[in-house]
Amino acid sequence: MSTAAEELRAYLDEVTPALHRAWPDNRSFAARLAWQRALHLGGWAAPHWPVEDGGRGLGILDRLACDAELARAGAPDIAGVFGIKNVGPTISRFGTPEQRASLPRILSTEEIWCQGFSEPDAGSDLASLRTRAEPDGDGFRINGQKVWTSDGMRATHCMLLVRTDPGARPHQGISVLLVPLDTPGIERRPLRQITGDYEFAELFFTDVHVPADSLLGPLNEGWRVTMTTLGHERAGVVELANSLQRDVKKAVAGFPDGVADPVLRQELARRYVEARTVGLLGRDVLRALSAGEQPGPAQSVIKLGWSLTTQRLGETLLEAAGPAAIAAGDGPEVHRFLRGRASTIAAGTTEVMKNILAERVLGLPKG
Amino acid sequence: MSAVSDRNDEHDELRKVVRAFLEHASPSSEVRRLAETDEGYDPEVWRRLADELGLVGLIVPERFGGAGAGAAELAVVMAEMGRTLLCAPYLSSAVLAPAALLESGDETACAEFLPDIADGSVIATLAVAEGNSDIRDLDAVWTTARADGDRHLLFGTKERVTDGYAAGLLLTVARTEKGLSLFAVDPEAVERRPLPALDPTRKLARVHFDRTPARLIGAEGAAEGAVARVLDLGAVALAAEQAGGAERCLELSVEYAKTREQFGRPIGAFQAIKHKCAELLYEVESAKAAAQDAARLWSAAAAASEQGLAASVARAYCSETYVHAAAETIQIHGGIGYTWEHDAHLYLRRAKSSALLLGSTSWHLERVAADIGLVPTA
Repeated sequence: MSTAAEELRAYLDEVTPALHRAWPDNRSFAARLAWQRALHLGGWAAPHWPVEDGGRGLGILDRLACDAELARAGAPDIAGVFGIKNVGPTISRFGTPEQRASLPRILSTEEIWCQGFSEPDAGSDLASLRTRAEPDGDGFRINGQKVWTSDGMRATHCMLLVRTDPGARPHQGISVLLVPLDTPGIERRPLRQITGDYEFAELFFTDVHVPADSLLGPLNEGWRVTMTTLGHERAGVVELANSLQRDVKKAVAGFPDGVADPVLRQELARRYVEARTVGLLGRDVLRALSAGEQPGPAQSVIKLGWSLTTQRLGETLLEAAGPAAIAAGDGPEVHRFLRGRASTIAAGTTEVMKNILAERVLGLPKG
Repeated sequence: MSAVSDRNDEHDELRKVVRAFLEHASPSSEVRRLAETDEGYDPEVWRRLADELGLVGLIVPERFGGAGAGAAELAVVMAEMGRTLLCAPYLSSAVLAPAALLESGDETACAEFLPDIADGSVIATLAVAEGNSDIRDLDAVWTTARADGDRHLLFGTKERVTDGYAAGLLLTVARTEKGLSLFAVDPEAVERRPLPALDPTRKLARVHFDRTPARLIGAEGAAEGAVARVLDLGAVALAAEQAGGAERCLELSVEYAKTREQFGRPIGAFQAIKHKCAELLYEVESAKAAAQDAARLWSAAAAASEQGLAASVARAYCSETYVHAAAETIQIHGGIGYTWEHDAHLYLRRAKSSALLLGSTSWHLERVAADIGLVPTA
């Protein structure tokens, strides 16, 4: 175990029991906030961030070791997940000194960030987004609509992708604005998803004025600015692979007496096999990175494997639960089954992912 | 599209050497020529595999004239053989038979047989399956052995014996009052017949014992666990071969999709083709990872339970991936893929036949289910 992970383990041993006592169901947002604050007090909210940003500057191996410690401690997802994963690193890279003032507030949960990316007509084809920001006095005037904004109802701030040059080609003429969500002219509506939950919001912008210093990075280069930190970074796919293995192990442990139906148990065994191979791909990526080598195609296929297996796992577990599960309200199996549909859509649909694999890894011609 | 999951330099070197050799020794024309024969291998290529490359005795310990390598190296070699559909009794004589002798713990038999197996001069195989039962169903072994002086006499029929027609030494499992036992038989003393196989690139035979003299190998009644271990190692090796074959299928498909034009553009520009190839990429990378992991665990002498589970994970995954890859290769090639002249059907035949050869997918999945605690205990 790495030194950092050992230190984190010691810290978690100290704070975890009380957190679990206070938040027995640690999946709620309130619980996630409490966990993040507790982690932050020990300097563990974003240990992979640079030291000057309030992190510990951990490399990928230490970071993954820390992720494993958090999983071991039963920690929920961090509350300000988008702020810590994407917005913070983007601000760190492109932000002005004033904009960088957000970094400590992201760590402390004072600021919860969402990402205003998708629009009704710009999903997988994100570059066709139409929300506009026009020059307006000393700043910008924003008009348009965002949809599928994760944490959109909870967030205090939004990293917003807007079109600033309507004449430019799709990937050009886009800019990034940092927008407090209490700015006048912004209306938010919860978006109810197929599980019945409200994880997303629709954001409506009507003549919203923001100052010029809301612009993150150069004008009209927003695509480059967001894509630098977005996408499937390596630590992310390794952690995805690990989490899938943990998920399946946990699911299997949910059948302490076994499964009498041989077809069902073999389906479950299939999920185990799939998750284990995805886990092995993650391990290969990790091994390559530790050896200072470039990871091969394994890295690129993990998200696809994770998506397909996660979805199938939801289907299999509902069947394995038996017919009573269809008349048990919004039970865990039903919830997981429905939620599984998102895994092949969110963060890049399976279809777009396959195009990318075919073109960039296999070298097939663009359509 | 090299085997990215395996960064071991020595393995890379071994892979290169074997690949270069097989490109010359096992082109499609040779595969097709040998597929038409009953013996199904080229003695000269076999000799060179043994002498020049030292691959026939790869897993045989050095004290018995082999290279003393482990499953990890074996997996590298099998993957390359799978890529070219090499027609040779490698699985039989370099994997199953030597593993059976080694697992038996019979030092005298090892000293007597292994050197000749390792140097390629004797082709050996292991005959287990009977009737229409899965090879892993050892309860279905009803060939019996009766003591007759210092030897035994065998009665029964073995099916789908790999390279059973070409073999010069037959190892087999028969039941005595004490249970399953391993025996060595001189093939000249048995009636054997080549079977018309779905996969003509791997020869299968029926072997009939009727008062056939046999020599007991290892302790009487001690073969059940040993044979299961041998078949597990065979599963690890075969999974690697399957992953190699699947990888080659994907390469053939991608190459073709880049060059074949329809509707005025390469068919690889169509999403329907791209998506098939991308799915296969995921499956092939996973298959290679699963096969290499199993081989690594066998090489590292991990706990037996870990090894068995990993072998079944690899086999379950690699069997399905190879069949899928071979089937999609035909689909992506369209009409030409359905012709006898194109190699695609040879891969499909090898893929489907292999999937049923050393334990079916459902047998391996059930094993996985049992090992992870999903099979109820009575």
